[in-house]
Amino acid sequence: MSAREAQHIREIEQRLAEAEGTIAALLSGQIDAVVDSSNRTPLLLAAAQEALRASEERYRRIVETTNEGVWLTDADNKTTFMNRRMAQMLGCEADMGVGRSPFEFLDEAGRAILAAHTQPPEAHQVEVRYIRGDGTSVWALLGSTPVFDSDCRYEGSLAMAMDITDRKRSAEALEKLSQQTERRERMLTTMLSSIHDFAYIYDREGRFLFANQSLLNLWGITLEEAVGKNFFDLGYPDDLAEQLLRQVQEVFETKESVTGETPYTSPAGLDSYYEYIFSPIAGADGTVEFVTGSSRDVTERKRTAEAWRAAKDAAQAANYAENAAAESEAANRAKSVFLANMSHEIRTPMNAILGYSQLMLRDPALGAEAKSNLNIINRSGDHLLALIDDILDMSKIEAGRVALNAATFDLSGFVKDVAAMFRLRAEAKGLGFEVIEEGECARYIVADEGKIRQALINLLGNAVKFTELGWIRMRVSVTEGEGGQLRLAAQVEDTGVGIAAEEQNQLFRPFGQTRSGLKAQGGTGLGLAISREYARMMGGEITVSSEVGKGTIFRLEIPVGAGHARGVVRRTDRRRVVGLLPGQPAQRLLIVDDERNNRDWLNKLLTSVGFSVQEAENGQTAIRIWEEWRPQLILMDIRMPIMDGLEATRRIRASQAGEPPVIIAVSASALDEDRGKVIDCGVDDFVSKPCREDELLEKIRARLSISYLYAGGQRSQETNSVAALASVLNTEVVTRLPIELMEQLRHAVRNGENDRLDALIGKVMEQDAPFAGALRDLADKYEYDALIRLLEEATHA
Amino acid sequence: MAKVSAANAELVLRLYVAGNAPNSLIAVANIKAICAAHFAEGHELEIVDLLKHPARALEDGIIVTPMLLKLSPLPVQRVVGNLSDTVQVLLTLAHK
Repeated sequence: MSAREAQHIREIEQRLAEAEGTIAALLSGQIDAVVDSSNRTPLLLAAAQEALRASEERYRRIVETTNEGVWLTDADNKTTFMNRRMAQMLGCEADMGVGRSPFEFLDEAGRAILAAHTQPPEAHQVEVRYIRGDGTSVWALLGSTPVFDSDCRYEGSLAMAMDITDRKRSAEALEKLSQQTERRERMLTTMLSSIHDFAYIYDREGRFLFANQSLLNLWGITLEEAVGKNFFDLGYPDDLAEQLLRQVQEVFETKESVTGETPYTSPAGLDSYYEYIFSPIAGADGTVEFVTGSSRDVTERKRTAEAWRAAKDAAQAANYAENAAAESEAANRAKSVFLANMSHEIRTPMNAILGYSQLMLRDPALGAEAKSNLNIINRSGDHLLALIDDILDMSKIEAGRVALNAATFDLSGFVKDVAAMFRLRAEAKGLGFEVIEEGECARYIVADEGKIRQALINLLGNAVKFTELGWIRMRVSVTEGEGGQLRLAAQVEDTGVGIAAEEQNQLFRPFGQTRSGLKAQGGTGLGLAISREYARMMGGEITVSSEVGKGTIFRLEIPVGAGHARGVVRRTDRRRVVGLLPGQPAQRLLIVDDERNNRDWLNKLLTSVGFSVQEAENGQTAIRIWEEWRPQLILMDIRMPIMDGLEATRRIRASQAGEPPVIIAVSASALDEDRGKVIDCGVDDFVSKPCREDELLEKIRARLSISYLYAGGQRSQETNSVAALASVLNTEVVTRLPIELMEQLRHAVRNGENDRLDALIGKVMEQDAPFAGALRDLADKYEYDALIRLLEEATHA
Repeated sequence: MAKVSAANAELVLRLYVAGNAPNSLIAVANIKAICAAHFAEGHELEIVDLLKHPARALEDGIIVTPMLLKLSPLPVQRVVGNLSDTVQVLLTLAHK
């Protein structure tokens, strides 16, 4: 057998083995498919067919039930298959998509993205947006895998798409929201940075979570440095830091805003005043999560307000002081006027009471009991008058209307004088009375004699009043103290009831009577107050020491000046006119004025000086009186009804009868041309209204060539009369008046018979005009004590 | 032939299957296991689906599946079935 034959045989054997294997496989069911060689189609055996069908079914189910879209395309990018889910996403039927390009369903951006991945084809995962037929859109996460055949040729793509529209939308919404948030934050931050006010946020511990640029600038640090720091960390003064922290915590607790003001000095040394408000920022649960605050620099406003307030206060204070002064002045004046009037009103009925009770006491037929009753009435009347005088004095002191009138006087004589007043009264009560002038008493001193007299009278009066048994002693001394200052000391000692220690400080209070004072039922309680005020005005003091049941010592001490006998002579060069120098011919003056008040005032003034005065209310009357009475001088008002002053003057001047009178025009017009016109008509001089007393009197003196007596004291209401009296007495020109007239005057004064006093002064006027003027002056001012003294001294002169 | 044999010392196999039919899947699993166990150092295995590539099956004269072709070393030999008879498969593959 040849090798070829052997080979052939081996091949046959191999084929047989293969056939045998094939048959075995067939028999054992190991074959899946048989190829039909006639039409070249593989025929699947039943089991294989079933398996394949099941497999396909499985895949089909997966594809159709998956929530992802499945999309198959061929090499030309035409759709070969899409599952229902994919069709649903695209808004069409599954078979409608077949044959179409997936690009048709994409928006423009999607097409561009996809194109980039398909040339050449590669696996990719992208987010694209499909546009549906109805215009709505759907976002898909698209995962695509290219499919290649066994020869590596591109067959198409398998794509899986997941609907991510919702996720996309929420992401978009989120993005939009975050953009808005970011924008709002940027706006707020910029806004907060650009304002001058400070804006900041605290946490619960008062630490800064935010501070705007203005505040950071003030501190000179950055936001990062500031965040998390509290007031202490930032170097605030401890007390301010505590206050602010407390207020921050208060906002957290109360959920209410708080406001405040504080000065603050920045690290750079800037001193300012801030106004601030802390407000709560509530969290979602309603509790306070943070506190926000803002501060404003109110330094300027504060300064302006302070300046304004200070100015206002000052103005108010000035205004107030002015008003208060004016009011108190007015009130005091009103009070003084009221009291003067009241005392006058009380005196007038008292005249009748005292006058008639004294008249009745002279009746010898009066019974003892009636006499006693009348005495009580009399004493009560005297007491009442004394009260009124005290009240008047006190009101003068309170109104500040009391002036000091220091003058040289004879102390020794003065002491004797005062002692004389009380010796009789003390002895009448069975009391011892002693006056001791201690040491070498200076005889002449300079002081206000009247006030010292009043004080001593008060002290001695009290001593007599409150002492029932024992004695009263007055010691007077003048000693030289430091710097050669003389001091007058007058001590009044008694063995009376005494004053309890707790009552001693009440003694000098106006209207504050002590128990013993009340018991004694005498006086207003004003006496000591007045005396002490006088002592103090003179730079001195009245002190008291006392023991109940043993007695009391009052001590008056005042600084005085050294005097000389020469000084006792009153100076006469003071310009206050008291009266006409006696010995001159009587001067008749006519007052012409239509205003009754003006006439009254002038009449009073001129009468008190000592002129004879008549009045006329118009020019016509004036001419008639002039013709009858021939006054040496006429005070002529200009504007008057019926006939004015100019016409009256012309007529008087035209008349050649008798001595031509001096005519002084009195006019309210201050204009020079009016004055010229008035003088042109023939008046001698001109006085403008309201006229001053001294100016008028001086003009009268000059025109009539007469002389006046002048007051020696100051221009004080209170002592004019005394001064006037002194000057009158010291000029040694006192006319001797009939002794009966003097007695009548004294009686009228003592009994308060004012009308009678008026009439008597009228009589004096006829004989001694200056003296009458002085009397009237005193009477007008209710200076009855001085009046009595004047009358007594005049009688003895 | 010697030349071929010498040049193709490496084992080259081609397995025809019919989709996911049961015996085809078993055959794939078996041949992969045999190759991994006995020819790990050098072999080439191509699996061809008769249903997808009927033309190639005809070229290789495939009449049934699964069918394993030993293309190299020569001679070409065929094994039909799911290749569960490992000894028979190895004998065939070892045949020269």
